[in-house]
Amino acid sequence: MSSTVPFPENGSRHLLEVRDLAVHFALKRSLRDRMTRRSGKMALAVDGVSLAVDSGELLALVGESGSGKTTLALAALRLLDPTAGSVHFEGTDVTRLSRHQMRPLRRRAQLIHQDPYAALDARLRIRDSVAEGLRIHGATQSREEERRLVYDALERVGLTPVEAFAERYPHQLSGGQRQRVAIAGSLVLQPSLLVADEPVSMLDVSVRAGILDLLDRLRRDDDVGILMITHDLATAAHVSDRVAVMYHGNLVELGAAHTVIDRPQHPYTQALIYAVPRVHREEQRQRTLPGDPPDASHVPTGCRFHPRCAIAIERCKSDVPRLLPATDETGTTVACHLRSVSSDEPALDAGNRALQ
Amino acid sequence: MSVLEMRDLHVWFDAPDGASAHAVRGVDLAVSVGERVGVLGESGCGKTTAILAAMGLLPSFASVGGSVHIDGVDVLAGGEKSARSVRWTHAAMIFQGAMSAMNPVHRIGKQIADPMVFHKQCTPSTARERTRKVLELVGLPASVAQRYPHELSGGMRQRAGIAMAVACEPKVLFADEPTTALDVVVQAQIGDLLSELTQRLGLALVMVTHDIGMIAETTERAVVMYAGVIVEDGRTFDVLTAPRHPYTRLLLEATPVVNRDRPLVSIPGTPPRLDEAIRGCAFAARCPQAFEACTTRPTLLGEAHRVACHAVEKGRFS
Repeated sequence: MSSTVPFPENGSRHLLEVRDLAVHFALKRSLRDRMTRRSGKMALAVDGVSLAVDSGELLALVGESGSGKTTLALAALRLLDPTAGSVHFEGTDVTRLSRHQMRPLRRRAQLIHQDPYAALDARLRIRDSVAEGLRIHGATQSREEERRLVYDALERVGLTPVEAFAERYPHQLSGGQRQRVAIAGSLVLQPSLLVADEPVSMLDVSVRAGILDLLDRLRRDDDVGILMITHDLATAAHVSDRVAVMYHGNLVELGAAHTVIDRPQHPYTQALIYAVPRVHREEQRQRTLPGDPPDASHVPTGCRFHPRCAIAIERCKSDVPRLLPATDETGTTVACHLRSVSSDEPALDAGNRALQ
Repeated sequence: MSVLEMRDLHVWFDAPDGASAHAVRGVDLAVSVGERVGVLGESGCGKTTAILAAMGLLPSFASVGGSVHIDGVDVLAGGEKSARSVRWTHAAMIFQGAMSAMNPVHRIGKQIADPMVFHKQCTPSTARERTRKVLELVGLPASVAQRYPHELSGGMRQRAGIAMAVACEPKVLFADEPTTALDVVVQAQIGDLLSELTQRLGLALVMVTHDIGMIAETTERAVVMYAGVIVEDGRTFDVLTAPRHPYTRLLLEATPVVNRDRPLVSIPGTPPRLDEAIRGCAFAARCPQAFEACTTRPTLLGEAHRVACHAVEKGRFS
């Protein structure tokens, strides 16, 4: 599966390692708050998340909208400054770097957006869109070298004949082809990490498999680590090695993809899996989760899932559960008082185990 | 008895330069009272266009051919006037983006009550009373009537949209990708609500979606469209578990499912351009089963489970 790359400078052996990451946004202060000199409310978009991605690994980050998954990804790329915690990329703590120092690293960590229609400049030919990153980073010595790299990237994403595609404009391409162009624009910089934010959710079902295959090949053949954000568990099940489930700014479950899908531990993960509609009647959905998706500005006490949870006990209303190994020894870690081993063991050990 | 009947429905979109895209190319569809039908297909296959045509909601640069009867009324014959007489009272529609389907500056209650006052000649107080009832029917507290659309979550807005649609007691409910903009868990809630509500009220449901799971759970009949025509039509269970058309088969194989026991495939190629004449079967260029006969257009054949495919008809592929 994944190979662990030693990055010598400091503690992290992982390609990307996020530790106790928090991103809080200040909400607009109400008039009453201002008059009483009270500080405004905070939206806790991401609140204490630790996870790691290795080279050649595809980790799927799953959750509803508002669960904080995109915020986490943006903070991991330091497109947002985290409120607390650290992000190590290739062994360097990027939260301590200046913008200038970040620059060479940016080339190595690329983002693929959800909407390939908005991600490409409508007035640029495909070859210019793909070459844009190279030009920004001054990565090539000559026009000839640039052309070779661009053609090479287009070929790798399957847009052949490359000469023809290179000269086209985005409006001449289908959604799937545009997403391939966006991926080519990342690949051309030879990144070690790709963060793909809902890479197929805007695409038709008939072309999704092609894009997912492409991501799969990149990690297998080029050893790229991929953090894929998705709300679709079925998509995650098909391509990822591990699945991390987020709810309301916290990780609630983390484990091998097939284990999380086949034997979900956290009641929220179970609800997500039951919510996926099935084609065959005999395996129809069992129940629907009541209530609305979380609102980051109203954080419930204790376990953040307890107001919607069918099995919540008194303790869930007051104690915050930590991510600990699941009681049924599936190897997953889960943040649930009822489904994880006793939380008496030191948090650090459990946290480290969660990263294995 | 059919409560909705489309006969040889065609829709052309005319471009200013004289070109024209033939988006719906002859659709025949009869839906019985209380029947729940799912219309499946990729973007651009004409599924939304067909239901917009049935509601008389297409823009002015579209031309429509054929006929649509809803609850006995010929929608297309009398122009805007006959379409207006059908909307809300005979047929209502739920849209994909519940946010954009509502007016942001009016309270939810007013938006639900307005069509009742206008189309059913309710007094404002009767309409208010009924608004409370339909909100409860879709699982919302009556207090939602006092709120503005932006104050509701996506799921609540879609429920309010459904409340609005059923308020005037239509016979047919059209739903255009009603769950696409929502989260998985909320999708399941809305799907449950739609199937439960249509059964309780005896409404026919025509739901357009590319979400196969949604079709499986909320409908009893599935219609597959490709390039503006119906290529397969049968009981939902049959179509999804024993698809007959090569396109339906590939579409199902391309759909990710949670228990991943098979690789995903993608369908090679792209759907045909609709601004060029399509000869023969529109899927032939992408079809692994295509042979000589596919240069003529196949017709929808069969009894309960109909399919438009020469290869199936000739027994070359089953």
